[in-house]
Amino acid sequence: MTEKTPPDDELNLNKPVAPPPELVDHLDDEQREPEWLTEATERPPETPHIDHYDDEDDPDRWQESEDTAELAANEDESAPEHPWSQAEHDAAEVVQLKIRRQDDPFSTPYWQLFDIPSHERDNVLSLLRTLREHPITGSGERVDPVAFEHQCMEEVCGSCAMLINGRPRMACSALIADLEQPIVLEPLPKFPLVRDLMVDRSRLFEHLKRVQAWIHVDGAWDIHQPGLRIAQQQWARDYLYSRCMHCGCCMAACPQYDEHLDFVGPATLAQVRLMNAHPNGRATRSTRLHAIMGDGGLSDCGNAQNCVKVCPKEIPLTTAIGELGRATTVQLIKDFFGSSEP
Amino acid sequence: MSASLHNRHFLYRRIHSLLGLVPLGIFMVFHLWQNSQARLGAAHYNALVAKMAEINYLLVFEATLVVVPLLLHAAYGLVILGSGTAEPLRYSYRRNWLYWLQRMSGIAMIAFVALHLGLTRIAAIIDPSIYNDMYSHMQHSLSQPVTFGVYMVGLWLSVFHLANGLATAAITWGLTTNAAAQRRFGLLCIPFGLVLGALGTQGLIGFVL
Ligand code: SF4
Ligand code: SF4
Ligand code: FES
Repeated sequence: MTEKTPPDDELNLNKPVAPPPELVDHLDDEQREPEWLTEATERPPETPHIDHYDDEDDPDRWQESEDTAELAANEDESAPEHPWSQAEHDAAEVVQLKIRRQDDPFSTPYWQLFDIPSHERDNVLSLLRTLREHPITGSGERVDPVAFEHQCMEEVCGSCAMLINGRPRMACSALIADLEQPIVLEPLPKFPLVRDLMVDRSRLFEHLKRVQAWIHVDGAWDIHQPGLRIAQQQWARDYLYSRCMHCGCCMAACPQYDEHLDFVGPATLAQVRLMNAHPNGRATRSTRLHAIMGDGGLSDCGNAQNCVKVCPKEIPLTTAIGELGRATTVQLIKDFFGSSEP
Repeated sequence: MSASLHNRHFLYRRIHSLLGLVPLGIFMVFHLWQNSQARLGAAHYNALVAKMAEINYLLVFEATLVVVPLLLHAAYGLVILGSGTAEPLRYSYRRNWLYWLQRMSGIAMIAFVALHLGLTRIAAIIDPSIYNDMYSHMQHSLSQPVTFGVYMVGLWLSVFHLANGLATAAITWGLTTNAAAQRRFGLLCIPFGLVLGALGTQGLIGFVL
């Protein structure tokens, strides 16, 4: 008897896997007009400029004050001196960034505009890195560098999520050519703000701990047994969920998720779906199901399905939620009527 | 042990969902079907009302199948409403609009059902003779354009709330698991809502024509 091998693309996991169409609600790429930005305020005049570098011994402090003095000297001239060299300017298109800034978690946010020379195939992060070299606003004022997070530059680490033109997405995969200008950057909502575009996402780890999103190993020693087999077809499905990089975009878009609320959010639920499908994880299925049947669990989802629309990795979150709905219904029946399973 | 039974949160949500579907949803279908018979005239309609009033243990049924579920569903609905920010303008996806509309129609329904009960059951407590000729009582109140308008809006919002609630309950209970199934079932709920709304509209028009 010959065993049928699955088609090649199901086996090749290095290739990006497109989620099976029945799992994902189609992502639409329409860019929305950010109307709510009309409320935006320019930097309030009453906010004093805070100098964060008060350390007398800091060599940068001297550097900065010299720059500031130079700038102040130039202030009288009618045209503000442009920080970018002429050559750089000629080579590139100038892109306007409008960034929502906030000096610390407790101060008032304000907007700043920056004109940055941009090259073909630049993305929002590469522009932010350029800006970091010369943090000078469009009107020529030297300001504190914009704080932001990034690591991989290839949409796998999950650290650069922010609101770009009003939508939560990864700055490293947001190509300038595809964006409407001025490009409006805001910190990812629903997470405590640290500074400028930097937020504290340590809650994500707390959520994972809460639902026990891990597999218990069968032993820390060699048990002389191969790992349990997983069917290729199931593997292909599970793989979709394993690509979650915990960026928080889905939580930012979820109407039921907020830093003041209990809800663990769609990505965490999807990890429960993933761990419960694993042959070793199956043994502790009901523990995870019970965790999401508690406060802040599955039933806090309101089925708005924004999460699946914004997830940069196209993770079939709503399918995970539907499958968990069924699993918890079965679990409820088992809990009520008793069951032989643990 | 069985966290789902000891932690109320999950049970409350599922009971909320179940109450909306089983007693309340079924009652709404029945109620709209029954009132669509208004078109058959005063004699037929009043005979129907009289027959209903004769049902054995009517009050018990009304209390356990309609009033208590309605109060619980509405009260817990308001609790759920306390959490969540829809932002339908920022994320203008279809499901997000429906999420927002479900909440808004829920609030509207509380007002509408209160008004509806006030104009019928409570009015009948004050003036029992209304029961003898429910048809002309309804005809009288619906002949005022404002009342008719409010009933029409209330009817369609309620029908929406039920049809959309059916679609989301299918996800919540895990009847539809993957995205394609959820979309298919959601599409099926549209004709259900339209037929139910048409039935209700027929009833309202039946009183005034
Ligand atoms: S599910 Fe998607 S949007 Fe959510 S954290 Fe994971 S990768 Fe980010
Ligand atoms: S489907 Fe649930 S988890 Fe996803 S955005 Fe909506 S409420 Fe949030
Ligand atoms: S920098 Fe790693 S995801 Fe953008």
